[in-house]
Amino acid sequence: MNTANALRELLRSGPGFGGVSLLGLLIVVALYVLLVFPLDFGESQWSNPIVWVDNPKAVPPAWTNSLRPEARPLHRVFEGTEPHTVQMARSGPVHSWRFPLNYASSHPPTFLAVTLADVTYAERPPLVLISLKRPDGKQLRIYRHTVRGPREGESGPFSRYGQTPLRVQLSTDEATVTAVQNFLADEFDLRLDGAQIGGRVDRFLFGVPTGDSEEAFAPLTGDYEIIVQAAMREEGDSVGKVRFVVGGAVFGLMGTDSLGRDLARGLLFGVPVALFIGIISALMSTAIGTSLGIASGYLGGRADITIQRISDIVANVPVLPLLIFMLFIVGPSLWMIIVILVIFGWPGLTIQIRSMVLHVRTNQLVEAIQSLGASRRRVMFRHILPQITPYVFAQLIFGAPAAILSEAGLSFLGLGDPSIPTWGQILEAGFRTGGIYLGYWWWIVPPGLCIVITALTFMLLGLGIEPVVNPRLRRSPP
Amino acid sequence: MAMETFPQRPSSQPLVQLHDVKVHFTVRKGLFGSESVHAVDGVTLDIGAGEVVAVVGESGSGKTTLGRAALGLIRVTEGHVSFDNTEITALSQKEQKAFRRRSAAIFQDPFASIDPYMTAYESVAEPLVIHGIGSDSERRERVFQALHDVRLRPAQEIAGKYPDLLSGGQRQRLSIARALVLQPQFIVADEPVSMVDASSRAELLALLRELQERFNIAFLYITHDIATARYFAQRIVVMYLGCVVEMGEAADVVRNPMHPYTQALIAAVPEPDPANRLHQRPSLPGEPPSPVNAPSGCSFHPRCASFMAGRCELTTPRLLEVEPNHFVACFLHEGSDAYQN
Amino acid sequence: MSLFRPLLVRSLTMVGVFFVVLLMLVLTLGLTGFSDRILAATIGEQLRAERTALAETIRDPDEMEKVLEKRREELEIFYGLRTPWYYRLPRTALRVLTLDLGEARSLRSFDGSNRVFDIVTERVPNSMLLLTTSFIITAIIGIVGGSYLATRQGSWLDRFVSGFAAVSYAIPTWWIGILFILILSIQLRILPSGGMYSTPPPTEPLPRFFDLVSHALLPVITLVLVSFGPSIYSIRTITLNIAQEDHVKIARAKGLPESRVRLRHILRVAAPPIVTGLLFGLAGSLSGSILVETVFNWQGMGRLYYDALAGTPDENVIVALTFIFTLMYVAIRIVLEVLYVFLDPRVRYTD
Repeated sequence: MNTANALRELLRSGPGFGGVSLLGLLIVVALYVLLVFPLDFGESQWSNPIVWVDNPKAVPPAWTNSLRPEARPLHRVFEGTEPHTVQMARSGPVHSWRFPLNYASSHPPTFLAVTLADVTYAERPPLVLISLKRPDGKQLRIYRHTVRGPREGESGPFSRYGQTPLRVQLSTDEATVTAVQNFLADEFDLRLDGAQIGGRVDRFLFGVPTGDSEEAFAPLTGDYEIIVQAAMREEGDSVGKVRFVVGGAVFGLMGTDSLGRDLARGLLFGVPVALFIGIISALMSTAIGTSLGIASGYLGGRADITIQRISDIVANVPVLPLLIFMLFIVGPSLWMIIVILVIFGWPGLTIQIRSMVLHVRTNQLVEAIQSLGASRRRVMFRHILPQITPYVFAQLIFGAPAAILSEAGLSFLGLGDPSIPTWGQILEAGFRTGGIYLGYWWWIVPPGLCIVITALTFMLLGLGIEPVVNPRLRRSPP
Repeated sequence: MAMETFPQRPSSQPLVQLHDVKVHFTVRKGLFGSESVHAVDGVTLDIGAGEVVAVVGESGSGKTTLGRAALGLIRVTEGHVSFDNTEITALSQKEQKAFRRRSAAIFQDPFASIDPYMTAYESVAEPLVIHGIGSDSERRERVFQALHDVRLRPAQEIAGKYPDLLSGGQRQRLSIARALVLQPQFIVADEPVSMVDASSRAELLALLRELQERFNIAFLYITHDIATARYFAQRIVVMYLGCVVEMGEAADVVRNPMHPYTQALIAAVPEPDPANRLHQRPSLPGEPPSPVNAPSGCSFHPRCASFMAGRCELTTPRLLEVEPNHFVACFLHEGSDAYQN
Repeated sequence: MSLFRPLLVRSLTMVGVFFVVLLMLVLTLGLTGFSDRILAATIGEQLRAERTALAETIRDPDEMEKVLEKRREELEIFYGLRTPWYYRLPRTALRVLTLDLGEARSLRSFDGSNRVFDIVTERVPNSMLLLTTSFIITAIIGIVGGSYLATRQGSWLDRFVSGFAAVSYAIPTWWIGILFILILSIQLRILPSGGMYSTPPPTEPLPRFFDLVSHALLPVITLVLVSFGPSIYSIRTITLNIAQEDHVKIARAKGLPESRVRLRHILRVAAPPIVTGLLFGLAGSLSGSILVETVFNWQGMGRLYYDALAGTPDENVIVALTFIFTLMYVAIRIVLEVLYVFLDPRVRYTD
């Protein structure tokens, strides 16, 4: 009746205000995620390694650079579709893309990778060349690739790299290693063998020798240019997409995990999932707990005894072992987790509601309503329920954090729904793959914090609502 | 108990008939033992259409239980309750609903008997909703008529209010309106004025009386106050520990109380004379004993001013018609035939 | 004699819990066809073993297949695989009840046994060690802190603890454990990050003991940290409620010294509800310890769960663990309930 008043009272209390504003924030984020992310994010993206292949693995967030004396390289991705310039050469048109790269880090990039996609040609395959122009004016060709030619029996026009783009990790590519070997010999008079260069291409390409030893290179900062050229044989041949990745040692807002997954995206997706788990399981167990509590308290007799005995037993079952067991047997699914949480979540409320109903029932209201000819159901749900609703509402809110924590714990044990990433699952991956022992705090701390903040939101809301609800509860005289 | 002593009203067929009604409660005691409490122990009573019968007694006398039994709100252990010649103790759900439509109750506590989460309008409309009577506009008309009848004014304004904004007197008018809205033939009013401010008590009682006369409603008026019983009722039934000890025309019982208990009750009524303010009135010694262990014989004997040793504590006196339409259960009025059975 | 009823009701409830869990285990296994799969796997393994043995005597492959087929039939009848699962239900229940828990697929006990019973039972003391230590510490902190806070109602400390208790409900215990490892073990290298003993473990009793303590420190602190807030808070509230009762006011009015009032008139009356509260906390810390053991690689039953779930799950171990966990929990609860009934004379009136 005084919803507006109650809300005002709630906002005036510290926890209430905190809870409401946090919940508002979470809801906004959840709505944003639902609008922007695909609903099958888990399957189509999170668990799909191809999506994350160009990301650096297990690197901290980009903002950590501002906390360190020396900046680690940022992750840079260059992409081009339409060629920046087209020149006519003897052999045919040459499409080129030029990507300027200002390199300021005192460390070399972690890897270099190139991806070509959607190549079409009429007769003869184009040739792709990639060169790096350094701030010291030196330039070298680091990659050369002839697109796969026609197969026997195949007729043009030919399209290549459509379904599966060509991706080359230059840091370990043999041709690149050889190119770097020659470059070092020509420019710096350094003769290193392939094994010394392989996998460490980046430090030579982005550095100058210090002279201390053969392999000692200091990063060379300044303006680089990556030049991608595709030499076509015919007018109309094209390369649909060119992508060049300079792997960073930091990434994005939240860093990446050991598969290169952008943790920020995983954490964001966790918001609506956690809210859903908390709210749905709290709603369902509150509904069951309340109806059984009312029935038990109001009907009395054998129904009461039965309900009380059952809830006594269920309330005393050690829940986590059974949760683990049942999820293990029926297989991990988010719905199953919710259903099981509900199955074991109602008894506490039933016992409390029953005693409240007994209290309400002894007053003359129930008898008065009965004397009017109301059915039991009407007395229970139209007259008793409204009196305990505020209390039920507070309990509903307190139920949400418990569900969120339970899901997180189960996910941490490896029983999470693999098609729906949650914070617990991110933590589990970090733990199982040894991320904590390697000190990957950005993988471990944020998901836990998200869990705590979400659970705390509901706790604060509950704490704020309780005093608003309680005086109303006491108003009905014993 | 002998049948011939059951009093019968000579008038036409009564509306409500209570026949040898007993209500026993079981109280768990220890691990396996249990004990039964005789809240109402064999009460026979008829209420004619449009008649007001008052049941007077202290707390614990079983008068409230009797009222609940008369409305079928409580299971009768033994005996019969019938309404308009229909036994209400064995009604189907449908029949019971039909009975509820023709009967109503007004309770003692105006704060507890009205749903705090319903507006005054919703509370009064609730019986109409339950029984599915009328369209919205018809309901509206009947609710406002009822609010008007109990003089809740301005009805328009009060209708939208929640009970916590109403005074005790207003709430009790609201519960009267709720009882009236179905136009019942029979109302059990359990101490309807005892929890209302003294100032509005008389007014409320006058209202009840006016409505009773206007709609010719039969009332079972339950009270501990024999003075209001005299004012409101045509007949008075005095109960003590679950039994009727005296019953008769209201004027007769008050003018000529025959049972020592009735006499004590009347003596305890304060007189509206300021000169008597400091006057020590005779009061009933002791508290009424708990019905869990009622005294033997006449249960009133431990407090009785006219206690006859060797008789009252051994045998239970029967309810006898001592004067026309005036029944008393006391050896003082039983004469020598008490020994004959 | 009046003690009898509450004792009976409480014990029956716990026995009920036990049987409900047992029933759920057996029913879930049967209904989902899980027990069929386990039995089929057992038979398959046995046949493989017999095939190698028979290869010595029987040369003809057709002959061999025939013998094995006959053997399979015998085994399937023996294990009851040819009858619907519910016919096997009593026998499965009986097997579980008699702790005949079968053999593990890949997990082994410390001395190499593959009997599930050995694997699980050797973990019980480790779990109990962690659980009881942290439970006792939490209880002591709770009682001391709670009864102290009750005298300082409304102070900043009181409000701080209330807030802290509320926050505790929102924190996953195991995550706190991970944070501890991250900070204290990995960054600062103060305490070991997991396990129960260093490798190799010290052989002398005293160093061995201190080694165990240093390994137990983080898990115990983790468990205590998350549960002591709510524990203090609930004991404070119980104590406060009792301090407002009339008999306490009378005791004060009589001029009894405050310490005596607090001890005899408040704490003694508050003891039973405090114990109830702690008892319910036990169920919570049981769940908490499963996860905390996992985080700290503490070789208890909780960590065994994690190990059994990882990779190719070890079904028999998981079933056995669930059962023994419940059994352990029920046993502790019954013991405590009995103590409780004797502790609190008022129980006799309730129920």
